Amino acid sequence: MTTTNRILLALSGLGMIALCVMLSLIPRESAQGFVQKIFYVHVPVAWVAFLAFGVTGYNGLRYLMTRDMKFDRVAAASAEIGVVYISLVLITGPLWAKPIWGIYWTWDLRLTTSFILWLLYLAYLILRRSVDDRERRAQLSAVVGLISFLDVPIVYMANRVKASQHPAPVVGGGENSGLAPEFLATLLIGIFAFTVTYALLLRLRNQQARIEDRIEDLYLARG
Amino acid sequence: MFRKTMPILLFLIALGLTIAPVALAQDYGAGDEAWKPKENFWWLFASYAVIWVALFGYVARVAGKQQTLERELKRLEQDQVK
Repeated sequence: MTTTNRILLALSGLGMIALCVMLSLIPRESAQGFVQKIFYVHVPVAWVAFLAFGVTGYNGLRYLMTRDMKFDRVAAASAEIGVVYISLVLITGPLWAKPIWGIYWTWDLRLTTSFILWLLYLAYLILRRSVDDRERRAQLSAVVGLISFLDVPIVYMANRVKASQHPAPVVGGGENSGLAPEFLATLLIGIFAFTVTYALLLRLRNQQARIEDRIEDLYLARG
Repeated sequence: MFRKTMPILLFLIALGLTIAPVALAQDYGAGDEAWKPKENFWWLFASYAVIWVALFGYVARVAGKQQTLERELKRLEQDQVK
């Protein structure tokens, strides 16, 4: 393991422990009570999913501009991790919704566009597995990754432009939004912990993709 | 050895991260008692469990794949030398 990976692993571990401590200590939210603490994992995980898809789109664009395979590898690694994170968003959301709304799911704009985001990147991963030629796979993936990223701002804006079953944004949502300092600190620690974990996973998956390409080259050389 | 023990270790860490905040937070803080703490306990527990088990499961899978790929690469490179 490289030094950078060790540092990221240590930071990720410290972040997770800090989050665990903060989740234990912060008081219950007055309206929702105990179950509101899902917020501190649900939101950071969603943030990382958006970041991961942004990295996929950016590296897809860089690939189309340069035709350098290293960008394709980063894009693919980030998309895979993004799918893991967005899946967690789609699982923890209904687990929070059931005790508060009385239902697991409703097809409102925020939830529907999030579900579409999950489907888009799942399709991206399926596409990568179904094309054998490396260059063609990279080109198609870059285009699909870029187009799919268009859904991220739509998800983000969904409950800002239209009234929704999903709660209004509590951070950056206008005059009536905002969090008490201890709640905000917990949220920021969560964002830090999950982002550092993403960075570590991205590096590891990128290194693996390089090895996979090398293995593929060796098999091709053998004929 | 490490490959066998790592999933167990990650599972135990995930379990700790799930149980500790839920257990410690139960009686802490004031608030409206109208909500049902015992019922809500399971939703919170399930959410944390899903997050940590999925995340550490993915980390274990990535680490396991790394070792498999390195072994295969080494074998192919040795074959090439021969």
